Amino acid sequence: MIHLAGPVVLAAALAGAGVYGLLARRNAVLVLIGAELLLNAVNVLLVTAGTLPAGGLAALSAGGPARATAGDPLLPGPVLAIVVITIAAAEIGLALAVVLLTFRQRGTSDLTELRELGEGSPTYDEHPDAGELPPPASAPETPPGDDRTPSAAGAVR
Amino acid sequence: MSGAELLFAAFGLLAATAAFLAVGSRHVVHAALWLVVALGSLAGVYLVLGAEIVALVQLLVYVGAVVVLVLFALMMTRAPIGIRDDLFVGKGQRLAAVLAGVAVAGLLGGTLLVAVGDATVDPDTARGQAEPIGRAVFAAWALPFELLSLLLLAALIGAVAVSRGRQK
Amino acid sequence: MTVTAAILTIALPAVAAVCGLLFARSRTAAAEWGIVGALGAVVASAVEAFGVATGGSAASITFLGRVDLGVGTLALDIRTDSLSSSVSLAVAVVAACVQIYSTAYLHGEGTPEAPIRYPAYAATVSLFTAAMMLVVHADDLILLLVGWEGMGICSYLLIGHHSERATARAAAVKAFLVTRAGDLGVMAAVVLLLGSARTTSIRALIAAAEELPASTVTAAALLMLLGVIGKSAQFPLHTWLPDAMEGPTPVSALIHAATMVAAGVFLVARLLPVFFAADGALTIAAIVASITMLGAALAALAQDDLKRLLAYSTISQVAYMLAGVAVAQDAGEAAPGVFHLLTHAGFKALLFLVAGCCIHLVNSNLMSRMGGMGRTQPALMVLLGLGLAALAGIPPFSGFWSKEAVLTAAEHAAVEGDGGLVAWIVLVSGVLTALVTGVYSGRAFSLVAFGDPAPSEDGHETEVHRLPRAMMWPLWVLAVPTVGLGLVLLSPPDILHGVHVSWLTAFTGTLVSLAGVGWSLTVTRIGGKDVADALPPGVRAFLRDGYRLDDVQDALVVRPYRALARLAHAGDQEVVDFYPRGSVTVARWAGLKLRRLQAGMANGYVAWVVLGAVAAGLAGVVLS
Repeated sequence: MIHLAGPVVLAAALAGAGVYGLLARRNAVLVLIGAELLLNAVNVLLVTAGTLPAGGLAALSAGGPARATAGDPLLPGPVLAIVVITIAAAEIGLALAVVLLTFRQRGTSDLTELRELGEGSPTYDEHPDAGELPPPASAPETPPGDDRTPSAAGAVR
Repeated sequence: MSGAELLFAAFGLLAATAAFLAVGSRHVVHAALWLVVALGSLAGVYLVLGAEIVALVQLLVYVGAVVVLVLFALMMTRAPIGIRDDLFVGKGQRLAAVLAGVAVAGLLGGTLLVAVGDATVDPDTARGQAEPIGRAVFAAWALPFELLSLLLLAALIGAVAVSRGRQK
Repeated sequence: MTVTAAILTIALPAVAAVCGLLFARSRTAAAEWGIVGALGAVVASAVEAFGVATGGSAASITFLGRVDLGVGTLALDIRTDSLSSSVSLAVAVVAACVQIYSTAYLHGEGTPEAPIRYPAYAATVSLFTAAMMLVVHADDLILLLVGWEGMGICSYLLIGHHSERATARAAAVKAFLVTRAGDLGVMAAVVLLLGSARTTSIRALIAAAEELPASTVTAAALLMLLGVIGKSAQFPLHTWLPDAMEGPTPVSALIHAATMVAAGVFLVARLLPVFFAADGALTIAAIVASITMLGAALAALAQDDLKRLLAYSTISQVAYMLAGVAVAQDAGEAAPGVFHLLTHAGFKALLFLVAGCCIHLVNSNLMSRMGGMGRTQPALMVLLGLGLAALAGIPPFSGFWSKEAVLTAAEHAAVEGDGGLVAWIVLVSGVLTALVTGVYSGRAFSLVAFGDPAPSEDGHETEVHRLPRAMMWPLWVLAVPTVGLGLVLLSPPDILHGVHVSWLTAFTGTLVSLAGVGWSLTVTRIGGKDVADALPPGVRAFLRDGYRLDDVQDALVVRPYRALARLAHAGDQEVVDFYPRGSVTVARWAGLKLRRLQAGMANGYVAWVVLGAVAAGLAGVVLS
């Protein structure tokens, strides 16, 4: 017999820690750790719900049997927990790829330094590519944006 | 206090402590390692709650794959080793983060505690084994399961495409 | 047979209009459709007139069926009686002459500034005729209103036929708007009568005129009088008619002689019992007519432009008709006015078509350019003389009989009847107008037939050439009623039974007219060139400009209206558009402010999400 207050408190603690990690960390990877903790808080609740008998909390508090009877083929608690784990795996894979790319291009994974896209940020630039455009006179026969012309391709390689 | 409850309390305390350390550590690699501990002890919590297969998946996917990924990512982003003070945002924002965390935890825990009252459950370990879960996944949950596989595929391709960067 | 003929008088021109517009591939075909329609109407109205004269009138002919209005049943019927058959005969004859004359007058393709669109022109003339026929025959006010408005739109189209010219466009719009100002009165009157009498049948209204509430009848009659004043170009809504000379000359003949301006007088004649039952409506009509006849005649005296002279004479002569109807002593006595309408239709159509010939010859509207036609175009000048003699009221031409009939009716009302002061005003004004009419008729004749033509501005002399036959023989056709319509009094149709000519009045009127004509004709003999030179230059210019009423109208109506339009425009711009513009401003301002929230901090964004989640959760807890 397990008192239900335990899993509930555990889930709340994990969620609080996760939110704190999300908000307080600067390193992108550490922010993702906070997100993982949030997901695990959900999982704890899902698994706990999976142990409830048919009728859920209402049946339990009404004095019903504390043990779930076999016969429910859906098993939504554990199945959904597995679903969450899968989604978390997909999420972390993609998110870490983004972090890696950002690090390769900007040399940092510090979120406070990656603020160029926010208009309210001090590093915001309305025309970020304006300075990188080649002057038209340098390649008069090459229309801008046409990467397949031999001269442009050669220049990049 | 039953044996299951004792086990639950031990795993739960470990998981919660490790989680707090994972988000609060000033050592980058330690944070990742505390995450391992938290996720691993959560697998124990699942076991106590009778969700055997979930616990195994948790160990395989989370401890085995996700944490390894995180560690790799830390290495590839040249995460600093040793205690660093630049891992957190400013003081004011940090205080706000603490408040937000407490608020979320309070809201979640408060409402759920009121909801569950002093109810107890008796986990049925037979239900959390591989066979009934497998039957459920491949019968009633077949379509969501396929969608999940699509999601994973998309994430795989996306991760490969993103991390390779733009090829010119 | 009478019934069929009455329907055909309306249907034939209407069918000709539609077919001419839809099926006429060439100019010739369009002209043929127009002529066939008009000649068919002539035959039909002749048969109708004969039928009415021999077999009596048909009071109610089912024409377009019945319409249930809710407040009553609308019987879209027509009728034929002595009044409608005689007027429709006049309309048909004038329309046929105009259609034939137009084929020669509007020959060729016109100039780039004034191209001729003959199929549209002929079809519109046909439609105009059909609309007038509908007015003449309608036994229902709604049906009458259809024809009435049809004439309004046709006059707009015809006056603006040369729509490339800004003056023609302005004249067309002016004619449309000014007559429309009056038409509103007619519509209001119809609504008023429909609401009060529960019927728009003219027959029923005439029968019920005495029983309806006096205030309703008076209001309806006054409102209808407003429409009559607008349509018949009476003071102060006459200003559109001189400007309408921008239209082709045959159109002027049609509008002035038979259709548009006559419709107003016809309406009064048709609804005379209703007007009679209304206090003061006929008095006002008589006063308006008195003012208009003398004022327009004086304005005609000062004109240099032959067509404008004829236009003002039309206003003056229509005022005679209105006066003749307005001094009626009995609800059935519209005879003098209607008689003058018929004779005027003949001689004014003749005059306009002759004027068209003169304009055709010298390519100018100015009488000073037309001088000396007595030598070059004797036949044309004979016709002009006949028309002007009828206009001046020289015996024995048709205008003499009808004008003296009007004067006799006024005298009768003044001396023997209870016409009182108003009848005296009409009588005095009528006699004075006869004098002025004589003067300007004689002046026009002496200027056109005898005067020396002024050299044209471009220097070369206009070569004398023969007028096309299609332009000449309609004139001779119209000369017949001009000379001989008085003979109809030997055996008058029903409608003209009330025409009397007293010897004393006739003698006075003739003397006055002859004095006027003689004066203006002898002025040239004794060295003067133009009898209008006797007027001081300022007065002459004032009269020529129609008493500057256009300026008054401009100040009283056009400018306030423009100011109102500007106000509405400003209200639309500043008040109505304030809200859309305000929402744009607010959205833009909010966008500028809110986008500062995009600080680029991923943690910050998450904080907002958490804040939202907590708020939603709290709301759920609090609310449940």
